[in-house]
Amino acid sequence: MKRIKELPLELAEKLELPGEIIPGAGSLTVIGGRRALVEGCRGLLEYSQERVVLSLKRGRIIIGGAGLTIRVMNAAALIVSGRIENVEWE
Amino acid sequence: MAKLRSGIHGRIRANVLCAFPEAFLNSLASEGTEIWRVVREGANTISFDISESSLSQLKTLAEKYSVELKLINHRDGRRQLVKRRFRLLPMLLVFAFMLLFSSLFVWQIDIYGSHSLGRGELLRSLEDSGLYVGCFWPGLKADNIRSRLMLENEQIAWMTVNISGSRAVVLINERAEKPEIYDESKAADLVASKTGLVRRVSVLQGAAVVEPGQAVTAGETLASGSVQSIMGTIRSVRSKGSVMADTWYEIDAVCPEQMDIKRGTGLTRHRFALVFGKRRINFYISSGKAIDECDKIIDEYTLGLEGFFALPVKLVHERIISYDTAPGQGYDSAAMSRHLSNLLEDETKGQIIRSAFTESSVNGLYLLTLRAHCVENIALTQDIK
Repeated sequence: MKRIKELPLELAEKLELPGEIIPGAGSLTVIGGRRALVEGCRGLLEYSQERVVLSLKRGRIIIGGAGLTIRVMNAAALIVSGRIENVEWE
Repeated sequence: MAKLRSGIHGRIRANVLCAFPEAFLNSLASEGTEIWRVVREGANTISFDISESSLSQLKTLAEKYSVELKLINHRDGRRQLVKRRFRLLPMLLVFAFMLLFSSLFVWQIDIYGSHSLGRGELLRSLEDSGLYVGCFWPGLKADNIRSRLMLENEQIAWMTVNISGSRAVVLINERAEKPEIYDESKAADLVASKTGLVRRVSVLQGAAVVEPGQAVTAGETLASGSVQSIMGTIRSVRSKGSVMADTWYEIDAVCPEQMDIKRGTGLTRHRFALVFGKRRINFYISSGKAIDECDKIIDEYTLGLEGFFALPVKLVHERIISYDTAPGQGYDSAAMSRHLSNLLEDETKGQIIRSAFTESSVNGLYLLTLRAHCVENIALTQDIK
């Protein structure tokens, strides 16, 4: 089952296609360790000033740091600002 | 800053208390609502901004999920803006009235088509006719202005005054010079306009009195209008033809070798003034000459749309640039030679065969001489008295 879910991404890698074209593939952009933009996010699982956990279609992202705040949030994207110390992709 | 931004955009700050505030935010976002500035207040409390248009959606969701909702700083941004706009309305009306009132006066006069008459001279004449900066234009009569200016200035063949907004456009058509009229029936000789050596004589009418190779001086007769007929009688004709001759020119230009030259000291002072109609407000204390040796450059900026509308407000920027003088070379030989070449071209009407410059120094003066050899038609028609 997991193999089938990963198939589009593996195919895109084999064909050297950009990952952005895969529907539901989340993306994370961190700017200067102060701001993170998460696209393709399906929801907020946990939020505190030290930890923000976001749900993606495939897995979840954990942003750790200090003084974290959610600047903007909508159905598809989210911007976290503050001192970003670590990012985990599960 | 955030409060100001929220006020301008019409945002509301909401506080939510529930078991899983994150889930409530997800529901709100999935409904298409944008959420800004999310702050964790406590274990079960989150505050955030939403737009005013999403308020009803927020209330519906809060009721659906049994969430305790509190609105903080709920100010109707749009209503506030409208209120502020209404407060601005009288000011706008006053401004519009002032604009309308000022447009009944002439604040800018543009003159086009005048070549021989100076702008200052025309402005003085226009002022005498009632058109001046600050005059009430509905009381002006273009016909009266036209009649008066055309009577005062013979050079004006036709003119008109157009008023557009507070700008008066004066269009002038100058009288063309009457050409010199020759009486073809009048007897005339051909005389030499310049001293030279005759190269070729071509007389179409009249009797040639010079031959190629002969030297002539200015004013000497080249072809006579008195022609002897076969019958032996003398009849008078108007001589026609051309006499090509070698001519020589020697033109001098003199300049002092040493003179005081201006050099900028790098010190520049800026002064500003506002001109309302005819009243000037200076934004500086002393209007006297602060620096002994200086250049004063004045830039004027009129408020309004260039070429369309002018307001009676003008910003004046004066730049006072200080300079000192030091002895230096008083001549520019390149400029002098250019000037001499232009003079020669104006003087001769033929072909320049050869030209050369010589320079010399006499009693502290720099002397540049242009010597030229030309070939040109020196015949000039002169009526027989």
